[in-house]
Amino acid sequence: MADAKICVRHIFMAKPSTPRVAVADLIFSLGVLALGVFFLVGVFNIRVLPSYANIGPRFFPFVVSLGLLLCGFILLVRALTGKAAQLQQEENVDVTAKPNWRSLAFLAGFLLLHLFLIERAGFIVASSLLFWGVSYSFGSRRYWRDGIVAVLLSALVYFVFTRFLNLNLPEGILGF
Amino acid sequence: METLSALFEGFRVALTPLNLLWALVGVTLGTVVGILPGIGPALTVALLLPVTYQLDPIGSLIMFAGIYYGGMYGGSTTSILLNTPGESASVITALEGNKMAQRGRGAAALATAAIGSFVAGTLATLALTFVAPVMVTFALRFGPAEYFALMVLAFTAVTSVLGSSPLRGLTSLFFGLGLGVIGIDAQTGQARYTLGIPELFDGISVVVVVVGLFAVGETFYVLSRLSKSEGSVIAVKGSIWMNHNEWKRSWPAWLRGTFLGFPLGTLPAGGAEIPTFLSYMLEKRLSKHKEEFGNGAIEGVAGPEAANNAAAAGVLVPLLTLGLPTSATAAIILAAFQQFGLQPGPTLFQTSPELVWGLIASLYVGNTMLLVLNLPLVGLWVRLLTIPRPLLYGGILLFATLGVYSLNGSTFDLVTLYLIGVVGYLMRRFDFPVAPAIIAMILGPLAEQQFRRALAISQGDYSTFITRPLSASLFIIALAVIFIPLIARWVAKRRMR
Repeated sequence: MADAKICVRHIFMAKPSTPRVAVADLIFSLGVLALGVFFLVGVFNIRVLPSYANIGPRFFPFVVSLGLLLCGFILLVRALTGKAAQLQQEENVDVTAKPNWRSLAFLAGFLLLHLFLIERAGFIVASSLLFWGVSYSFGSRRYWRDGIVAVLLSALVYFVFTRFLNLNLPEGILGF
Repeated sequence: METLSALFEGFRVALTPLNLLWALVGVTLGTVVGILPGIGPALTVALLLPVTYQLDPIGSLIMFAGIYYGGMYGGSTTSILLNTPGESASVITALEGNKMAQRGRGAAALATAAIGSFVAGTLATLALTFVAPVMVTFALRFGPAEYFALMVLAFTAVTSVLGSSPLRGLTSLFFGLGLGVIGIDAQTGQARYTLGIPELFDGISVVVVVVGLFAVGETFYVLSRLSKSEGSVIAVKGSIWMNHNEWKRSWPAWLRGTFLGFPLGTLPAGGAEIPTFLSYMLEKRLSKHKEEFGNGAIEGVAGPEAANNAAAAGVLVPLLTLGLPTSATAAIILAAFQQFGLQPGPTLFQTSPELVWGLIASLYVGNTMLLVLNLPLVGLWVRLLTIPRPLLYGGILLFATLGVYSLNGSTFDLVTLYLIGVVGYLMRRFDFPVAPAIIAMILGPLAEQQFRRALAISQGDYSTFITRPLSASLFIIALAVIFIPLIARWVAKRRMR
């Protein structure tokens, strides 16, 4: 995969890139820089005992922060000179499509609902809703089929995990 | 001789009914997740970590190794029948394999992939059996400085090989190293980046990071740009047996793929992508049927598939003998060892020979099982491809949240999971490879430990890393791995102008 991509890239590199700022990439590079700053600031919050002065717990975090800052800086320069990243080719992904924020918002909503419900309503209820919600976000409109699969799968998983594997999952309102 | 008797003892462990069952579960699961899109061996092992916490280490590790090998087999099936590789190491297989399927020789392509994987897997496991003890005697002489140099080499190799540019690999690497730093420092007991949150004192779990970057990140990304068309599966027609000519053309390709795949797999070069690519180029150059390449040449399936499986065994050499993971899945298997309080490396061969050799013996067993599972039963696996996408991703998220929640029974882990999932989405959107982050997160803390040990021994003298010849040469190789591709790229760019 990597090699195929590199080959493709070499071909495209010959084209002069447009000198406009790649905005999305710019924001991303600022994120990397912010992460670098976070790690750098944090270095000074790590307490160091005198006996470990040379080989203490600060050195590695410091290297990490420098690395992130350096990478973030190069990414920033690239973004400013208009070099936008290409989307990763993957199964089921159409890289030419516009991002579908509506579906993503649905998915995020169902994830938060699951987070809210898992300890209040229990594993089976929360997971069934999550499964159904993900299917809905992915465009399925066969509500009944999805619902039945969701409940059966959640219940099956719940009983296998709690009865055979001795893991604790919240039983919630169903009471078993 | 010593090796043979150790292997024999290993078989006594691997052939107990319970361990045979673990191997069967592992290879079956591996085949399934290799075929399904959106879920691979790395993610599966991570999801199973919380479940196996209280199980027997040998059985669990045998299962994980089975998943690892099985994923390699399963990936080829989707490449051939659907033209969408279920797994990155099978990308090359799709080139010729899918063309063969379109010409009605899909069954032969599946057969040469399965038998080739078996031949290569077995030969490479044999090589692993005899190379590992040699590596162990060599590795026993390593001090902390050498281990640290070796890990740096692994980091640089992984960053320059995976992904589309070293810069992107490095960014991913430093992100992973940063995640690994969070928590209480094991040597001094000081909190690092815990922000006063008690849940962070133990650090962020590998499971949360792997599931977040793979399952959640992947789901976000696929959903954001879901393709309208679902690929069409080509039905397998005709005899599953290859004809005489196809056998004749497959054999040499299998062997060449093995000889290419195993050594390259042992090097810290990011697993199976490079060997499969090289094997394809080699077969294309040597073939007497060059005109068939691009239209379904069987060598183009046989060679890369063999290389892919041989490399999988090769990856286990540095993992078992040095504790050095060179692919994302290997890194998670290392985390599995750690979960049981075990550290792979030369000393493990001495302290728990029955575990190491039982695991190696189970690879022979697993390979044989996979041949049986994949030749006659391939039609059964193909049906997995008919699972509708919405249900598939529903299932992936259900298991992702389940695995992460069952770690500590805390919703804090779920919140962390979603945040890391967003990072996983962004990494795909902006073309950053995920594997370096995972390898760095797991290997980083070990590298730091060796680094500080080496400095403690040298009493804070940093020159210890370059005055010890072995460590110095490893550092030079590590630098070369980063700079040679950069220079080559620069030269290529200048020539094109």
